[in-house]
Amino acid sequence: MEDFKVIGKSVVRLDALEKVTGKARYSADFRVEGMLHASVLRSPHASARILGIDTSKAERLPGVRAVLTPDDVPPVSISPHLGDQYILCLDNFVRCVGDPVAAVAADTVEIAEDAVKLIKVEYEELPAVFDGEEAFAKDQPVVVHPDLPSYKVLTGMPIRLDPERANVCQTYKVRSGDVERGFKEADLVVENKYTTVRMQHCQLEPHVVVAWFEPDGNLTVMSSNQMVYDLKSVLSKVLKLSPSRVRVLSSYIGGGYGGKGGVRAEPIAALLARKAGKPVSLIFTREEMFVFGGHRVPYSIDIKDGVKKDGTLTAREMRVILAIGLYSEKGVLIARRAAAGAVGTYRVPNFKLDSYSVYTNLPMTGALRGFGCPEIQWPIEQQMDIIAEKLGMDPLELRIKNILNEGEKDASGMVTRSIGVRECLDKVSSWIGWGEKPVRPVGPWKTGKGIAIGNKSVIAGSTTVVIVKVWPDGVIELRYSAVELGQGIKTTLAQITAEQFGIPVEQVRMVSGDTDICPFDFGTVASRSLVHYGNAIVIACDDAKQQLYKMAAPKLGAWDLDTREGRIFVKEAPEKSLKITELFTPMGVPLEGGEVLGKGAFTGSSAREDPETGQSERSVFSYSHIANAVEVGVNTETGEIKLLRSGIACDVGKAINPLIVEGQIEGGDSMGVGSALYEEIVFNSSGGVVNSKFTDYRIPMATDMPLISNSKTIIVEVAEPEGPFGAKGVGELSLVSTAPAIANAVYNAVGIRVKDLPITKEKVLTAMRKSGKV
Amino acid sequence: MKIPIMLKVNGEIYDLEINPWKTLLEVLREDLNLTGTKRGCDTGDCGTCTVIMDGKSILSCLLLAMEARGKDITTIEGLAREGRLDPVQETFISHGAIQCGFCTPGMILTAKAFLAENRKPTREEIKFGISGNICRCTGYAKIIEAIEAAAGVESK
Repeated sequence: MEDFKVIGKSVVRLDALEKVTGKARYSADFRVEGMLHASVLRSPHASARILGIDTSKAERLPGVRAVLTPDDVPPVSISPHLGDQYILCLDNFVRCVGDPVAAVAADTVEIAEDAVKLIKVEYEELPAVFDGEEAFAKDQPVVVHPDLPSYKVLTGMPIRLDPERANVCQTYKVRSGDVERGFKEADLVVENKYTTVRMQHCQLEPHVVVAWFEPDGNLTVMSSNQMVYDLKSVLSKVLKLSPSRVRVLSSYIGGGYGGKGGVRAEPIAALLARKAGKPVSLIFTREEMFVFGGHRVPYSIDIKDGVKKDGTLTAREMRVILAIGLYSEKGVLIARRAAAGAVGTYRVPNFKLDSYSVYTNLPMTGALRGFGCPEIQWPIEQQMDIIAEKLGMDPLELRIKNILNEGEKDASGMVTRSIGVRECLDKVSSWIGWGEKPVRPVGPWKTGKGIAIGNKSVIAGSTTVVIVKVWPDGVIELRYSAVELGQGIKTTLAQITAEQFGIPVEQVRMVSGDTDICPFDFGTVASRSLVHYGNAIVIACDDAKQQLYKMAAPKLGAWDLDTREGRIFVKEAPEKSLKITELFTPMGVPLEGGEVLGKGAFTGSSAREDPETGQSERSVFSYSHIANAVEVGVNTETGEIKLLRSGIACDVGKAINPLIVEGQIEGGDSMGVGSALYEEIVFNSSGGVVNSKFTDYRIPMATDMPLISNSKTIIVEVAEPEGPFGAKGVGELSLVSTAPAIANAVYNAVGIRVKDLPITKEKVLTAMRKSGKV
Repeated sequence: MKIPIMLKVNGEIYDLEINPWKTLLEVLREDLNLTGTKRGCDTGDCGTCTVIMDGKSILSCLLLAMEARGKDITTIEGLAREGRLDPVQETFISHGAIQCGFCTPGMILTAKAFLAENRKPTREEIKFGISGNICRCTGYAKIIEAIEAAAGVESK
């Protein structure tokens, strides 16, 4: 094991002091001179044709500076993969309640909101479809995008429609072995249907943007966006500005969880700023966040498993319908990624998966922490328990029996490596006392235990670039474009940089948040930042070091050099050394080259999948693994579920900063608890969101979590060979198997199996009464 | 029509002219540029806008600034005194209780007011003490540990 100075240490977060003193600035804390405030008019109908828009009254309201209607919007898609979304509703049709129709910029936000109410829109209401399976059917009642076959495909990502199903905008297949043969070989076949629901990210900071045009006509945007370069590219496309003329600034972000990983309010603000000739700020209200701030994609999953008497899985067949809502955004990508979640843990010799992204007349969905993987573990991990019970096996044993081995090919054709799930499972099951009785129930409460495992992968084939600058005093500056949204990336990357030069993190200067000076990055999404940045930083630091060594070599009379604590020394004779400062003139200029700038670019390996079988040697960059073990109490009189004990183990490859990793694990797990027990965006019969407030959309509060003494966070480190120092990402991993673990524990407690998220007390109580269990 | 108002914030007196319908949150952020106080929902549900008024934690989005006249208000910017962090700020840092930081000011001020009334709280009491403040990042464990540690420091 290498001896690290900074890596693996829980150094204090670089953003901590700013954040506890209120000095940390977020996008809404910036005020630009002359800034106007915007508000958006949203469709009250789930499906309608716009016959006319009258903005005259709104325009006459004092203080209104610009009004934007669909006529002002360029016919260019802001959706990343498929040309199905304009800045304001597409082609004068609205397709969900909340679809943006018009926008106003005014002197104050109150005036803008009043003006929005003065815009008269004449609609011709049309039939709508809300249910994913209805929309998926061959005789679907409504086609959400009749022009879908003619929409442009915007990226290299293949889009495969289904000629028989008009609402399907993406299909994805995995085929391995022969499932029919697998089911024939099975002693037991277990077939079930599971569903998940829409969740909202509930970042405490809403979507925020300030946009303005510089005197030379260039656009600057300050945004709470997780994908700054993606935003830059979309804005340059829709505003017809060369990318060199669009600058994206970012600051601290008050929570992302994937929900800020796409274009949100930015193009509206930019168009209003152009029209008004002034800076425009647009901040989503909390209600807008709940309605149109993005939702987790609801899944409906049919799963059929074949298994031998001894517990060996022989076949698994899954049909997954993703009801993505009215625009494709990330939904077409999630259909692909969900497959990785399904193949990354277990050995399934005969495997078949079909996933479909389906349009409905409900709001936009997109990435929400896990990108399809938690939704896939929800059925799989309950199936494992059902199978175990039917075979009379211990669910722990059944899982261990079927976990992929190092070096084995998974069902998508990728060779398994650095799989730490067994170690995770051993550690949590031992902590929870698996096999021992749960805590003794009191009164109407019954108690039970449950386990679940899972994986989350890092996207393959994406790129990150960094620049490292060496200052005369030995300070190392890192220029990067990842955003700090709480995950601790600023600190973690500073640690990696510090390690390369053998200096403390205080000697690293972190520069980010400006696309004019910070290089390209795919985005702060998909648990990819650490592995991509870590590798890019090592390359950039090596580049900078070589430049320093070239200047130092003649002075030291040797070429085999190293650096530590601001000194460069001869490897074989460390006493022969010089200070980095000595390589600079008194004016602070390096003796050669004018600047010491190291560049590092890293692109994760990838291999394209076969379109018919989904087989690929590298469909993802890496897998991280997880195991949960929980103990719950279920009240047999009310159905209430209490999380009594909770153990979670995450195989993260290498914890660069263990305290930060623990925070990621515990935070994700609590989001998992929310997804398991409470969280669901509820719609009325017209497609409107019913619960658009924190009081109506319940997320976990401190009182919902088990006492610290009753919870356990375990870090497992099975090194990923291509990850920096073995690291492989943790941000999304931590919630993938919380919900099925809780579902399994509820079953263990009261014999009720809830297959539809969330596991509410109403569902549990109703099922208990129906089954006569109470 | 703007109305003259005097506010005492972080020990300083401010003479302002404000619209009478403005909330304390808006005046703090927009008129005093004290942007450490965050706006998370504007309906009193999330706790991010918490400030301390006369020793009690209150939601500044639900209070008209006019009602804060004559009161002693502490925002996150005023918690550290003479460059020294408050023990709650210290323990939030040392226990890793901070992630995105958006709930942090409100959470710290809630904890501060709570500890003033509960010198040696149990973990269960701390959980209830912060149950009006949402944190979506941490799962609360490290926040509770930080507050417990701060209680240890303060009661010494």
